[in-house]
Amino acid sequence: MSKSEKKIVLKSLDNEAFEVEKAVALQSQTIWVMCEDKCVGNEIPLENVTGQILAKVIDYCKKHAVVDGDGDESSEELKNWDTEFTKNMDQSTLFNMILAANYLNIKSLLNLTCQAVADKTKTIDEFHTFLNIENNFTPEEEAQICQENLWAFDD
Amino acid sequence: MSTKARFSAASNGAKPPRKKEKPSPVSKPTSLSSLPYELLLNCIARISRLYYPTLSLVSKSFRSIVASPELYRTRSRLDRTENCLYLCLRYPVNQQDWFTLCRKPDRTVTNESSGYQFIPIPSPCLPVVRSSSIVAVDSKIYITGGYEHSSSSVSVLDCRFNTWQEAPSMRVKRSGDSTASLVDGKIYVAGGCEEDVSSSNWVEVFDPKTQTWENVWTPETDIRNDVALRSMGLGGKLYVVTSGGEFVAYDPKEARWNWKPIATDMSMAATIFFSYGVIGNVLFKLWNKGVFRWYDCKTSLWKILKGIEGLPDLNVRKFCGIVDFGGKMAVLWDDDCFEDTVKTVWCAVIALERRNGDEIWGKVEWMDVVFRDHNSSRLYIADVFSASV
Repeated sequence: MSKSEKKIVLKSLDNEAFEVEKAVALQSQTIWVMCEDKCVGNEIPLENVTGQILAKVIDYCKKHAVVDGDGDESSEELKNWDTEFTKNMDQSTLFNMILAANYLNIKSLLNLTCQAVADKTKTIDEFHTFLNIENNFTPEEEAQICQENLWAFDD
Repeated sequence: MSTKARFSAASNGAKPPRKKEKPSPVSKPTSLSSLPYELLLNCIARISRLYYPTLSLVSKSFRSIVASPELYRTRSRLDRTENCLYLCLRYPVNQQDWFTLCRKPDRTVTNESSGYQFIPIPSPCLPVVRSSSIVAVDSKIYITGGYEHSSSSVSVLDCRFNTWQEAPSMRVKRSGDSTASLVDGKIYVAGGCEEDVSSSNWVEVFDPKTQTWENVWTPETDIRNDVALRSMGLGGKLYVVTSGGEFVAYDPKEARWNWKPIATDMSMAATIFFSYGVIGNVLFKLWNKGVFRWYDCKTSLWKILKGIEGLPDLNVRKFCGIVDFGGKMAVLWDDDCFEDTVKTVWCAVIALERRNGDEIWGKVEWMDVVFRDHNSSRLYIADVFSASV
């Protein structure tokens, strides 16, 4: 097998091209299906993912790929890396990563990013700000909620 | 048309377009609500159930998600079910109040506080029953039979939504002398058959999966006349204990009763009149002055739970409950403060670790007041249950 056959080019929505090892890219079930389906060449267009997000996805896949004996990372190390990976992502990046992981069908990345959202939100304010959820209770409803749920509001 | 289809789902990516066209702009989600519903559930299912009461205060849509069966199916699929603690306070005049343990929003948690708190949930208008007639199975808590007046009705708290329903009635009416236990996912109810102590339904079993009651053949013995029976499920067997400390065991797999007590089992059976709990198939029991023991089935010995420090003397409490809290031991007890008529319930969570094969060590992770009732000076009986949601 020539070297070029082991590489694959992923093209983002905004036409950014990434050349990666096949073993790295094939962690995506979606890409795997595309490659099996021999109708594509070496270049795979991913029209749902921007270059900025795709670059992060590739970072993740590189770290998690078992390539030619490089896969001897201890699971502890990998876990720490995962934590660092999502730690400083802003909400928009995180949501786009969730969508990308879902579209590309990378189960472990979907788990990781959904878990990161779950871990980052523990207060009502965080739900309103970080997750950008609109508080659509009417003022009357809100007053009643406060009254009925004093436990959540008394400092 | 094809553009839309390509953007919609992962499976459509199998046949990517050949033609290079300018992709239409993709909206960038900045709100969790803008994620597809399935992915939204995937995120929320990973949040601890302890925060769900807070979540339901965030917005209308979150309130409805927390109350949706899909969320609990997702939690189950992702293996995210948790033990949730329920506190029941029962009063003499046919009233009961139910509470669920949650975590207060972190904003209000100070350094001194664990942040855990029991909050009220809707309580049923039901006659009060003895605590031994209440059993938690998976995400449901079943209340069987009556107390002063015999009853065959069964009420169920669905801990996913904190709502009450009726389950199929038992085959016979039972008084507060009956006792219910969980064995291999089924509820066994024994005794309390005041109208007919020789009933063929003296023991009956409920299968939550099929929602049906069946009778369990039981010989006619003096035990049927006992008015203070207790029972316990352990190691796939049902143990029924009389007020005199005699016990019998029923093995559902062989459909056989064992009426000949052996000494070691006697010591085990005699202990289930006060605080005990089964955690990960091991029976734990409050012994004395902050000492817990566990029953080692291999050696038939009660062994000390090692490493426990900092707990008060729990033997003098009116209430001390031991329940499974995600493989850890949750111990709950009350502080009787008659002076200012405040009811206070404490909780300690103890992590358990098996060492050297035959030792169990416990470490108190946190201990805090989890419930305060300023309103009532009435007498009450407290109980704690652990459901899996």
